[in-house]
Amino acid sequence: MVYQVITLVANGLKSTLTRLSGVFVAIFCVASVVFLFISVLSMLAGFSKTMSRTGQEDVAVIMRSGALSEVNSVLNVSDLPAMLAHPEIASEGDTKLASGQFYLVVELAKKNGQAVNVPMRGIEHEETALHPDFVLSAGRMFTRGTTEIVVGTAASGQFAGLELGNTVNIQGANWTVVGLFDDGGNVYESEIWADLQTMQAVFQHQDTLQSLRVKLTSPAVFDSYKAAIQGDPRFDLQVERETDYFSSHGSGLITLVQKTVDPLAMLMMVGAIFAALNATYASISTRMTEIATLRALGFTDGAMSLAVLLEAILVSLIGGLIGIGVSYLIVDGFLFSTMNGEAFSQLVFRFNVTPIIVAQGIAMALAIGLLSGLLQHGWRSELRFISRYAKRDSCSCSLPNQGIEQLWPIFWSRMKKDE
Amino acid sequence: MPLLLKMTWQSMLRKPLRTILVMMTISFAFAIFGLADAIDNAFSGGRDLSQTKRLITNHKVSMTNTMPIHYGDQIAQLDGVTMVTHATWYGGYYQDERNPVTVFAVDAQKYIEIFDELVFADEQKSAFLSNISGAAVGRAMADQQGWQLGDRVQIHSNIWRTKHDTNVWDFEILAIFEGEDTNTETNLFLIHHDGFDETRSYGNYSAGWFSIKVEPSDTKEQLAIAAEIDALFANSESETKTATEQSFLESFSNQYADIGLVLKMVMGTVVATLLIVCASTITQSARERQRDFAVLQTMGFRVPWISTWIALESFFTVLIGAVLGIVMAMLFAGRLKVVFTELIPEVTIGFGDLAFGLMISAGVGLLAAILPMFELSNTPIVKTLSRR
Repeated sequence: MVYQVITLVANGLKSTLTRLSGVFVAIFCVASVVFLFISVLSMLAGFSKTMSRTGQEDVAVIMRSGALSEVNSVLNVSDLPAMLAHPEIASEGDTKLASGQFYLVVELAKKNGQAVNVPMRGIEHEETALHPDFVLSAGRMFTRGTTEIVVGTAASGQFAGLELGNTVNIQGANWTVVGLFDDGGNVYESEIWADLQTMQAVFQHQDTLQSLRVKLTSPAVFDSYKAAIQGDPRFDLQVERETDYFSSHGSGLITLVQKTVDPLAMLMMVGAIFAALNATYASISTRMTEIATLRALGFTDGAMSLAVLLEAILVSLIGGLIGIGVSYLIVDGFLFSTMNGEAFSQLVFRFNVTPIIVAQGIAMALAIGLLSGLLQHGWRSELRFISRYAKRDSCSCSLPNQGIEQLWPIFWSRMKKDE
Repeated sequence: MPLLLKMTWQSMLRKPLRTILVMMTISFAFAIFGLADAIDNAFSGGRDLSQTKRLITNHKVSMTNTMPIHYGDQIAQLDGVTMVTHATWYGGYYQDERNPVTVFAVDAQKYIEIFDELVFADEQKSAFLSNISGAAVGRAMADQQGWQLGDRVQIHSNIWRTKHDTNVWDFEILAIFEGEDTNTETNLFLIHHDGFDETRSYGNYSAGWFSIKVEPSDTKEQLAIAAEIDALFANSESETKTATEQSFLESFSNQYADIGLVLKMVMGTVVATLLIVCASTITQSARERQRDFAVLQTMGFRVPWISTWIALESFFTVLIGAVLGIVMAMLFAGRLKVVFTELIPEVTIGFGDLAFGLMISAGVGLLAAILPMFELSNTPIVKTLSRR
């Protein structure tokens, strides 16, 4: 049996050259489905990665209560000292590690000319202490009190005019890009950072800002700080852990994408199985005579089914690998930006083909091969028919018998006409 | 002709399994195509951006910034401007943060007049206009939230606060308006700007955007007015950016663009796969029947007749598969509607795009018939007959 299967598979592989088009179709189908599957998954993965990498456990975000995102929040500058006078906030020497945030979206153009809303954040000098992964990849930090800006590498790659050394005009001021920063691949890399006071002055909001970020002495003191601020009768504020803020922030878009992707992926999977079945069917039906001959030579039904199954799996595996390869080449690292519904601002992230996604792609290819190989088992009756058929006179004709009978009168009438 | 159809039918039944397989492949491809297209439509606004004589003025920095309300009076002075109204984004949600409602605080009288695609019953309209703490709700939203005329609803705002330092406003639903046609967005909650401005604790005397009705219907002349408006406020503390309503909506929905790009990629790949599968199967099935064709030829059937036969067969296979697929896509799109209502107006299947897909696959069916025809007409019958 094993020997028979090996022989059959080897034989099948040798004959692939003669039925190149059929095999090509099967491989192409599986490859394109796996490619689509991986692209969509890696988009989701890139998105969650960006979101999950954002935020520190020991950083608290203070916003006005009821605000769903920073862009909707307003704080009074005069209230800040009271928010900072708490022992839970870490300090360096005499300065508390806290940074007031002036946050809004500004309309800029993408590299393809499309107008989009890009987040711009006014920060205090202490901000970088709240970002352990912050590193300037080019240029320098902005000077306080000037209209210099630093731009996240993702934003710089995606939006026009944010390259190092460029100047952009926003709200009547010319902002010069003096540095590009990385922050561990998180949401902040989609932003423009400027000096808090300068932004307040330019936008004429000297006494308000959007939120306050504070570094706590440890993640554990968050609850006591939250209780202190939210219990303070002078304010109506909400305090969130930075990690929680971002995981809730992106969830809307991610569920939306996930919910749209699920039915698509399901349809793709079933569609691919049908396409692969098609190919398997074609490969069997072109080899009718071959199969019949092999049966006559004594190969068993089981061995032949198994050989077809193995061949189907092999073909879809090759297709799957090609799909993975193509998606790895084209899609991985692809910079992508879309609107984050709640804040009306752009979020930039990269497609991320992870090993898990690759494994899922391979599993999908195997499943397609397995299913289409197994389903052909159901065609055994047809196979038997094929073998009977192949034994018949080679001059036989596959027109339906009934059809031929009905053709005779027409045939005669044409003959007469020709005479 | 009846013979041709009968032959087509019988040759489709010749190998029913293969026919079904091809049909199913095509139907799934069409289902994916239709669904991706529907989602793409949803992300790109899905609405027919028909020509309106309206401009929209936003803050230049971004659409989320507000402008002084008196800008409206200055805009109204310009030549070619018929009427100006303003609106402000309220950032509303009902009961739960995850249940957002689109609330605009508007200059009601003029707003309703300018947006005449919102159809009011007369007595409801006057009830709404005469009570500045009332609200007018679109049919789509009323149905979705289960609201009736006369209901009192509490809408939270994630931006504004009342003078009593809460973020909840109380509104009585005094009117439920319909859309002029199905393309009109009625997932909308309108409140009076006056009542809102009196009770909000900051941002008073400002408006989110101005909608301007203009006389000329020619886009060039409209843009000239837009430029005049922006010139009015150049170098002020709040500079403006004015565009036609269509181009504003387009650029707003374009912000989701990259998702659209991915969906387009999905559609493109699916179509390519579809073409290859169809073409190869049809060609192969025709090849297998070369000898049948030769028999028919000896009986006096001409090559064009036989080719028509093959083409018809593939055309019907594609057609049936496509119809099945579209039905499937519609079923799935119905389920998706629920997911999208909060963000995007409508998940609609673009029948135009589907027709395009159908045309292409029918075209492929016909093309696939050409190859066997070529072979037939170039090979002597005897040779074809002796083929194995």
